[in-house]
This record gives sequence, structure tokens and C-alpha cells, in this order.
Amino acid sequence: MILTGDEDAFRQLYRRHTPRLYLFVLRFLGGAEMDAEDVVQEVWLQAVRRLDGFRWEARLETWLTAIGLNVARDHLRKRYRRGETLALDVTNLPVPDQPVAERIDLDTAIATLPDGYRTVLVLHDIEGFKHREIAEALGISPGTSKSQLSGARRVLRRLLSSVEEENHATY
Amino acid sequence: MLPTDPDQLSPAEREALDGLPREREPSAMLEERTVRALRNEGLFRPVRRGGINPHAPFGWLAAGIAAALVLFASGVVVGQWMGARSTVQAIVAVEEANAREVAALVQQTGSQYAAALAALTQVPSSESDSNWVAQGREVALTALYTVADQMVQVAPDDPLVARILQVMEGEQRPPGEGSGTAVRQVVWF
Repeated sequence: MILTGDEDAFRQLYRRHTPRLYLFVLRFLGGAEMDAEDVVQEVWLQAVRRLDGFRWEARLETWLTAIGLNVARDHLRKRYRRGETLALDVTNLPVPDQPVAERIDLDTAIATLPDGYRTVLVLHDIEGFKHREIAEALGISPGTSKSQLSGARRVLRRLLSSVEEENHATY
Repeated sequence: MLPTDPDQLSPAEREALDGLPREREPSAMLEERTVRALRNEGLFRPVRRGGINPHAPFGWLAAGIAAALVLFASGVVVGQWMGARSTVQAIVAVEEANAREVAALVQQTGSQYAAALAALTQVPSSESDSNWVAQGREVALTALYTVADQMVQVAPDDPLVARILQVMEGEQRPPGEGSGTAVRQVVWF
């Protein structure tokens, strides 16, 4: 539909795919909402520019995620170059349909992970990427991906257990 | 919640991760912002050609440079290539496009870019043309920076590309900014 160059067609496509893309990018960037919106806009710009490169046997959602991954990674890299620290805003993290304290804590905990840990964990444990795919996408070795994931899970467990301890202490 | 093997997820952990939401609506402003950006890039309508006097040598030269640079700056050219075609042509192009064509297009526009710059250096220096030459240089530099920025995405591990971009960003950075180095917690960014 977008091939018609029609604005309405684009808007339909945008509304269909953006919510998933946005949450993926938001998690990847650790809950920085403004940055996530900038990245999503850039993803759509790149997607429309590169439409001829899209292989129609693939799912558009997968293709958009791949572009989103590159743009978000580039965004993180620029942030490092500028020497900026992550402005984490955990209030921007998504709330599940059925609010469960443990789930909110899980997303918050993921957001507080170091960038390298978080990105691998989001890709592997939430998005279902294989280590080989993560390695290819991030320009790292599969071994590095595995060790980052292991470290991420270790830190995540520690964060969550401390939250559970706090809850127990409260009650 | 801890599994026997610390590198594996326990069923409870797997369930918790699977239970995370997969979608979230961004702000309504983002859609308008994105559409406006696409409109500004001319991606919703055909790009018009013409309007340049072929008998004016420098006009032709400037147009050639501009065309080559616009193609480069659009991220290996594809965007403008798509924007310049009608709907039917675009569909055909999308179906027929392959990596070889895109690579050939990169080569072709790269040659045009180099040829246009070579021509720019041959322009006889005269007072009336100096502003045009300066503009040509400025556009060429901007495109060079844009291309280097794109190349980081095309070849993120290429040390030469990274160095070029680093140098160019250093040149563009306001004095006093970015002199500090962030403490990095991971090795691959």
C-alpha cells in the first residue's frame, strides 16, 4: 500500500506497525521516551527511502525491527560519543494490560541494566533472536552475546530479588 | 525463581518475560511529525526534474553536483530513486530491485560525484563564479559528512569509516564540547 506513495496508506501502515516498533525501541534504549520517538521517526524515514530493498517474502514487521535495531544502536553509539549518560525515566515504561507488580518490576529492572546487557537481553529473551542473529546485528561474536546475556540475567535476578526483599520488608 | 543452571531461564522467569506487553502507542504527535518529515523529503510525491538551463555551463555543473550529492545523502541513493518514480514505476522497481542493481547505482552515483568534484576544481577562478564554487564546496563537504554517517551503518566495523566520521564530527563540534570521555560499561558500542 505504501508503494502508492499515498499519505493515507502510509498512515495505515504506520498505525499498524508503530506500537510494536515503538515498544521494542523504548526497551532497547532503556525507557528514554523522547529518544525512542526520534528513533521510530528515523526508522520510518529509512524504511520509506529503502522500500525497494525490502524483500517481500519477509515480514514488514521483521524488516522494520531490523532497521529499528540499527537506528537505535546508532543512537546509543552517538550518545556515547557525545559523552551523554542515559537519562532514564522509568515512568515511561509500559504497563501491562493486567497490572501485576512483578511484571512492572521486571520491565523497570530491564531498563536499569547497562546498555550492553539490556540490548542483548531484549533481543534474546523478549524478541526471540538467536545468539548468531544478535552477533550479526550488533557486530559482536556469538560468545560475547552469550556472556552479555548471562551477565544480564545475573544482574536482573539480583535486581528483582532486591525488589522482592523490599516488598517483604514493607509488609 | 532461580533455575538450577544460572544461564538458563526458569519456567517462572520465562513466563514473566513472555507476559511482558509487546505494544505501546507513542504520542499522537509522532505520527504527524513523521508524516511531515516524509513530506519534506518529497517521499509522498514525484520529484520534479528540469528548470535548469543546459546552456549555462556553471548552472549545469552545479546541477550535476547537487544531483549527485542529493543521491548520496539519501543513504545510498534509494530514497530519491523511489521518489522520482510514479506509482506503477515504483512497484515495478521494487519488484525488480536487487542487490546488484543497488550496488551498480552506488557505483554510478559515486562516479558522478567524483566527476562533478573534478569539474569543480577545473572551473576558472573569477570573481563572478567564486560564490558558486564556494557553495559547491560547501555542499560537497556536507554530503561527504552525510555519506560518512551513512557508511557507519553500512559498515559499522570499518575502522577507516569510523575514523573519518570521528574527525568530521570533531571539526563540527562546538569548542569545549565532547572533550570528556564517558565511562563505558560494555565493549561493543
